Amino acid sequence: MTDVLPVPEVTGAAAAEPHEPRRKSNLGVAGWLAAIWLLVVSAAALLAPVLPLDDPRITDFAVPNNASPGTAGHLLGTDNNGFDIFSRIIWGGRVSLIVAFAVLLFGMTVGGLIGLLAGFFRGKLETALMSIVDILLAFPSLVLLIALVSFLGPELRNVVLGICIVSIPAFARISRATTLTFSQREFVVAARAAGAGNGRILVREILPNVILPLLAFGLLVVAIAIVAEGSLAFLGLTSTETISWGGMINSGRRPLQEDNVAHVAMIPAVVMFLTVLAVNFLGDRFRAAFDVKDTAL
Amino acid sequence: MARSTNRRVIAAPTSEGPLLVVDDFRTHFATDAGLVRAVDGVSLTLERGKTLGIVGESGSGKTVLSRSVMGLLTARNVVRSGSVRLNGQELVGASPSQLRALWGTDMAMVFQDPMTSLNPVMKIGRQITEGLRYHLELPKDEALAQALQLLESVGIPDPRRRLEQYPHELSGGMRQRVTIAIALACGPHLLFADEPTTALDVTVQAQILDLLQQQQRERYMAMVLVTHDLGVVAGRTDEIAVMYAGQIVEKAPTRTLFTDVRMPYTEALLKSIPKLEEPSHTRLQIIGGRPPDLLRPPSGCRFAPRCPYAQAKCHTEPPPLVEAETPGHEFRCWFPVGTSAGQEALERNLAQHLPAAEAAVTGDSHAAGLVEAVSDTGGDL
Amino acid sequence: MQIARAVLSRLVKLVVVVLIVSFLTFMLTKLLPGDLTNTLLGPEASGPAKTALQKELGLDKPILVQYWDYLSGVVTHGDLGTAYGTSNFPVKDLLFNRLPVTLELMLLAQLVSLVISVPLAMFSAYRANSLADRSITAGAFGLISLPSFAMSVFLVYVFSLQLDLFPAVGFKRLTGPEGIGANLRSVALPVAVLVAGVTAVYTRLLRSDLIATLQEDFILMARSKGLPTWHILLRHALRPSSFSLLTVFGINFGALIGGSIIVEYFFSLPGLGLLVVESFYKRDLLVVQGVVLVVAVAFVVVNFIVDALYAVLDPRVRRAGA
Repeated sequence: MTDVLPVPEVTGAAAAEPHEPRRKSNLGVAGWLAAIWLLVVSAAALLAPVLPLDDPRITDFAVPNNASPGTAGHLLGTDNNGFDIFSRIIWGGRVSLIVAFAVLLFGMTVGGLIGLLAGFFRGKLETALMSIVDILLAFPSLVLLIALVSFLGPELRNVVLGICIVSIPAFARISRATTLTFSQREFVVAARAAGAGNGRILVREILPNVILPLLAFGLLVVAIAIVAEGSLAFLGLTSTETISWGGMINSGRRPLQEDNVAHVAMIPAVVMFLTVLAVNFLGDRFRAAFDVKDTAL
Repeated sequence: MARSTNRRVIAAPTSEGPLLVVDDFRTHFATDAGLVRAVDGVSLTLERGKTLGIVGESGSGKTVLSRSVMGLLTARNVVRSGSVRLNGQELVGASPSQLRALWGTDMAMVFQDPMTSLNPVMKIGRQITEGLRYHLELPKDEALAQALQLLESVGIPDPRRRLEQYPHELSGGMRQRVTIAIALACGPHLLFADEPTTALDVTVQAQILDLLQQQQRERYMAMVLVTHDLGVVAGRTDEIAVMYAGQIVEKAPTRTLFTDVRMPYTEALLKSIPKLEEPSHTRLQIIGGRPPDLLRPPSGCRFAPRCPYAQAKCHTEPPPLVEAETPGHEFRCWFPVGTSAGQEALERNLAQHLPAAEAAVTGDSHAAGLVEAVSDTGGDL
Repeated sequence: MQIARAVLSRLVKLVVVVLIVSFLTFMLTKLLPGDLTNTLLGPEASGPAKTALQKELGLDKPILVQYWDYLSGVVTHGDLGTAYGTSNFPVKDLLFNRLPVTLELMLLAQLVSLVISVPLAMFSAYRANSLADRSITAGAFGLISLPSFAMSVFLVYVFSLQLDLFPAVGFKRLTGPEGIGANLRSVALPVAVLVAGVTAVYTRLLRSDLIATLQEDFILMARSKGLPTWHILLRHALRPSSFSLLTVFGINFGALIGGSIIVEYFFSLPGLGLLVVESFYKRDLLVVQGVVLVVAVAFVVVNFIVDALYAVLDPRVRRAGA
């Protein structure tokens, strides 16, 4: 009897699967919208110094504080200090951008390396490295961040450093898991049989395969990092010198709760939400493409 | 509550008409690639207390047939048509709740792999009693007493302890006994056993088959035994239906099928069973090629591309299911085995050195592999 | 015997982790530029006052000795130091005073989230890929991307400003004169903020695990017994699908403490989170340190318990004793 199946026997499991049209791997309308939004926000943030914007740190005494959107040339109105909200939204994007790139450059490199070494060499090195990761995870991340800025100081440099440290465990775990699966693949075994050394196998065979899932996963961490910076700024734990969406929401809190003025808090909240949603959405798509499971965290 | 309607008395079998009548039954799956005709026009009847064997290789549609007859396939892409009548009640088009009322009580199923068909986090006792408590509304202690009896009757040692155990604490054979006990719990009139021994050790396969046969007799229950192995059904069924590519290609009382085979596919299956009387190391015959694509089945006889007897006609005209001389024996073939037409066809193919024919005679699997390639270039070389 | 050993080795690991966590928390004060006394008393404080405080805090001893004093103080009489920056109350008292609010928020959030997400995920998984399922999945995705401070703004805007259903700020004690109703009303919006995010996470997770479980043979077998759908979902599918939910339930206490800090600050609820933020403003860092220690240790212990609960849910783990 042959064992080759032209059409697999449709057993209960397969047959019970609902009829799902095959997903195209392209972005779709929502994906393009997300990408365009991120592009616009990033470009505006980068170009903020040369754009014809009001100075985000100068009070406009010609209009009342908390002026409504559209008042006297203030497209999105002014906040409780009389600062132009539109200008501050654009400048505030810079912090999110800085945090995003710092996490990708620093958190991903350190975390990825830890996971790579742990997953490849196993044994005591793995135990040691992953213990460090586990210890980091023992602290709820916002609590750890607050502790770090409390004792190191609220400057942007420390905030970014703290967020990078907090992002390490996630990268390390995903990188270790990916490395583990690839270490057992045929091409690695073949390379080893061909006499390739550990270093060569790591760099030539495993690293290229780990980087893409790590990057896809990185977008999720970027979203979390942006929220983390926003949280600290919202709590007023970061330097007031830095313009940040979280800080803008914080300054809109009193107008919202006491003066029934919503836009000061609402506008940065919506911008923050759309940005995080866009990053998450693109990350979700990329992760689906590389089949990285969220639960691997 | 609607629950009271589930209450059923296990009735002594009434003698009116056959238990199961399947008529021109089809089950198709709508997929992205097109319609997969997994079951394509099957007709069967099964009398009370009888056993029917359904035999076919993987992909022949036998598993789909048994599940679909029961109505267990409920995915949205499943299209069922034709007629299935159990005790006169039409099941095609029946509502989910109507079907649910029949499952467990009128018909039940034993699945292929007892490693996966028992819930790993539920005690054995509960898995047996839940059906009893729901359908027969037995109180807990009575249901447990009945479960104990069931476990005893399927030959499980120390049954009282088993009630409190989880599936992972039992061996494969024991687990299959448990699934049989579960299937039998509410006294079904019809039992489907879908490859019940395939996943088990060879040493326990016979025990499980004997158990099924014994239970089927004691309970005067009808049974459909689905398998890929003609050897399994040989001594244990009243009738055998051979399936190929979603259709029944030959159906006969068991003895007749073995003595008076008509369909070349059945013949090939028979030749692939090892026989005791043959010297050891006799090369077993295999069937070259592979079953057809059920998205685009061949236009003629579906077995023609692999058939040693195939002639030009076979590749263009689908043979109908016709009656043989023996009552109850039906087959689909233009050049049946054991007839002069068949003999001539085989000789003609041998003379032309067609690989399928040569393989059928010499048992050379290597040549057989070429059958499909050759037949694809045009049936009548 | 084997089980006892497994439990013992885990307990040892728990103790080691708690020790390391406490050491790192202790070391936080060493991150400060200059001396702790500088921060606590302010740069203008006199030299003798600083020296006296240094002596009192034991800052003149070697670090390991300081840690040992700190640890034994915490273990023997819960001594977390004094809130020098403000009230001179013991940190322990401040913590205990604020803890109930945070606990109420977190427990309510976990409870409500489970109550919503379990049936929602079961419905979604059972009707996988239907319009309803897609809407639920999309909604959950949106909520996951919604930071809790943004969610707080939205909820206050809708429920306080537009509908005037709940107070936008303030807290009524559970034991206060207005009773439990006023208390629940005052925490309704904060809890809703926490619930939104947590429910989204739980629903997504449980839905995908349930969909996988529903493909299993034993579900087909259960169906072939003629059991009703709700029975199959509840009795057969839920338990084997809830392992990752359980893990995330534990881990989520960490996310919830973060969310709690945000909503306590936003709605001015006197919990641990608000205490941390206030202490930060007042540079009362021993209070921050105390909260960090208590929260981190509690988090480790909760996850240890969750780990142990696996054995209850999955009999296979019980036998393996691992």
